[in-house]
Amino acid sequence: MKVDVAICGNPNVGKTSLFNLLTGSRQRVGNWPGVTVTKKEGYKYWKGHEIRFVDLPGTYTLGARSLDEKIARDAIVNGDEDIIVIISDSLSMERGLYLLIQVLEATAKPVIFVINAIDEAKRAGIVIDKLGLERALNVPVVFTSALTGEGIEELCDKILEVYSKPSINQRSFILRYGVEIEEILQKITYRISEQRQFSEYNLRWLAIKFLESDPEITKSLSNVISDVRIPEDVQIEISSTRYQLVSNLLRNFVSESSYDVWSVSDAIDHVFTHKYLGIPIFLAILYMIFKVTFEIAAPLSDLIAAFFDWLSGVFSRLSPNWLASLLSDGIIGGVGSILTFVPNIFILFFMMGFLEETGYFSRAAFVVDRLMYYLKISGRSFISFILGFGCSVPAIMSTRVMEDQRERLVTLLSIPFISCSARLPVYVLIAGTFFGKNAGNAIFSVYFLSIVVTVISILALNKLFFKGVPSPFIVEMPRYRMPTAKNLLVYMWSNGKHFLQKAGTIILVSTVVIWFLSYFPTGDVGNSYAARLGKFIQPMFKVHGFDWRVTTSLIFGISAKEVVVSSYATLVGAEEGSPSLMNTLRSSIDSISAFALMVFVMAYIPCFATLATIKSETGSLKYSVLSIVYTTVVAYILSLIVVVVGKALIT
Amino acid sequence: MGVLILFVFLLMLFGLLGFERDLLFSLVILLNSLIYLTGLEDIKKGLKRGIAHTFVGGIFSGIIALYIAFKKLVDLLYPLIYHTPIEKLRIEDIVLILLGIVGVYSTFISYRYLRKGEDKNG
Repeated sequence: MKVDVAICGNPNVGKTSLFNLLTGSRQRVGNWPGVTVTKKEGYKYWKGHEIRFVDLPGTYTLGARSLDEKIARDAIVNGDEDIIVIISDSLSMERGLYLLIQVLEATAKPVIFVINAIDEAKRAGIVIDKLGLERALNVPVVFTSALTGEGIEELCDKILEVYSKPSINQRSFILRYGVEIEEILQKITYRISEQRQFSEYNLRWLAIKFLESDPEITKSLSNVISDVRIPEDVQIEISSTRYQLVSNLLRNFVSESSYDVWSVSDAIDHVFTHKYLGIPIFLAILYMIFKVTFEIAAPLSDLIAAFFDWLSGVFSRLSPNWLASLLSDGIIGGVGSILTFVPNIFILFFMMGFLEETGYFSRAAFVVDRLMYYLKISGRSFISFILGFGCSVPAIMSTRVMEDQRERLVTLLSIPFISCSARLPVYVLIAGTFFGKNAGNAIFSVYFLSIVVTVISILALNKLFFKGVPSPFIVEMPRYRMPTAKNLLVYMWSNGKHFLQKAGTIILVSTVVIWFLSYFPTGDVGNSYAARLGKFIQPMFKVHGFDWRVTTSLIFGISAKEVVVSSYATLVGAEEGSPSLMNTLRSSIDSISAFALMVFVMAYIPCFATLATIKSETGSLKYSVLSIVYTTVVAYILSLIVVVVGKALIT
Repeated sequence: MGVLILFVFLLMLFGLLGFERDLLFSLVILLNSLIYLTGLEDIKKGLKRGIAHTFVGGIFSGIIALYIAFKKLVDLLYPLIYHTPIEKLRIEDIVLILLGIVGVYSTFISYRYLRKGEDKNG
């Protein structure tokens, strides 16, 4: 037997955690809304049967106003799945039941209602009458805990039971909305029934969505229903009728404990979202992350660097010369220079994971939203920015939750300014070479600058494209949770492994290419193809104080930002026969130019993967091209300002 | 309360003096003391509100202390591996580590109090 199951529910109720438990997947989970913006599939073999699970993006309604909500609704209403599993949080069942009612109205498919985090409900003294809920809704109810694994087997059994005996889930759920609305619904349903193209849908649900002014359905039905008079407050009436049912269900079947009125989460939020302390606390946390990333990782990085130095020395003794140079200067010098930063990257993701898992990011978004709304920027953009510190690709994809397309475009074009983890090796190398004890501060200042530039970019693009008021930002504050070691390690590995994969693929290929270009045609790197390329554009950066090695590395860094370091290492190795990276860097540029280089790398052309994502998300190549031009111009001007101001301050 | 005020005073002192001549890090220490200080003000509105500041402030003090302790450990191990001169342990490092231990303890006490649910109005 093969069963297809769709998993849906409100954002941040543990859908992805349950999905991972059920399928053994390692999809990314997070203690904040909007982690899943696409459908994800996984399989479970249970008692000789195959169950295919589809993890849908979180949604509060079937309104489908943003792309992720549309994905969820389409799967529920039009999808091929046999069973729909609705996940609700045991401590916020009101919203879960509200979604359940909408799903029951929309589809006749079998539904299983899962109440997750049941361990937390028990701790909080909440008692849920499972059988009572089942009878009232005529829907099977399962208690689970994604943390302890409780109820997973029962859920799998229930799925097979519901699939094999559909009679236990045969229901006709109809919520009555009062005489006036019911009359209108009848009229609309009758009109729709005359149209053949809507025959596969639940007509009553289409009529309800029409009354709720669902944009997509209103557009489809506007020609069919033009003469039906709709009262002004009909949407409020519909939602309050649903909430009335939810309230009755909660009153009858959930007994809440009066214990812990002002919870520990509330207490922490009182400080973290404090009017005056909130933003400084956020900045302090950000600062500590980068300080620790640099300083704690330093001894480990030194050990790795020493190993690659030794390895490079071993291979440099090989013959012929070109092979020794390729292996020691090219591959080991280039890729090794990148692998040196593995501790930095993994420590950064470990700490990002910790903040995400605890639920702090939602608070940060809330705190910053006050400031951002003042600047006419939606707080939703901020969530994408936070993701951008890891990688621009998922950050760009996360903009799918934004309802306004112009707002989304503006955010999407500004995300490349947020310093992704790929740029960290460049910062660590430069800051470590030039700023000594203040290296951590130098790195933090570049990250801080990247936030400032991103905000300014959004303001500027808003002026040009989007002159309206930003859409209101409603963020759910998840409860604080102590992250499990497993989740943290999965988070760290799933994000950090891309760095290792890149080292073995694009960086390896790039270093071989740059070694080739630096060795040929004469074997003298100063007259090589790479040098000619770098020297060709170097005059543009004469004021910045960048030499040809730096400009050549910047060109190759377009493929992936880490390549700036590996290219530079390869060029230096090819020239001097040993990877004395820091000495060469120190002798070729001064500290002001070094900081300008950090700023240039922070802002210039997004990597190939980011450009491809911009194209796929906007559906147009012109935005990728716009991003290249826009970021390069901004990077050039910014780094020039750093040089001019820096020199002026010194003199 | 006296211990708390002494705690805040010491943190502010380190913050204002500029710990290790690192302006940004001393600002973090200063912020830590401000978290405690604003708690003293919030206690008037409700005991739990004030205790919330001790809870979060303690976490901050703990993180600062952990960072310094780890850094000092690295500073001790580094010379052993790379044969460089050993850096001396400074008095401010020891005080901040001790403050961190007291901070973590105050977080633990605050947590137990917050879980009790005695002051339900916050």
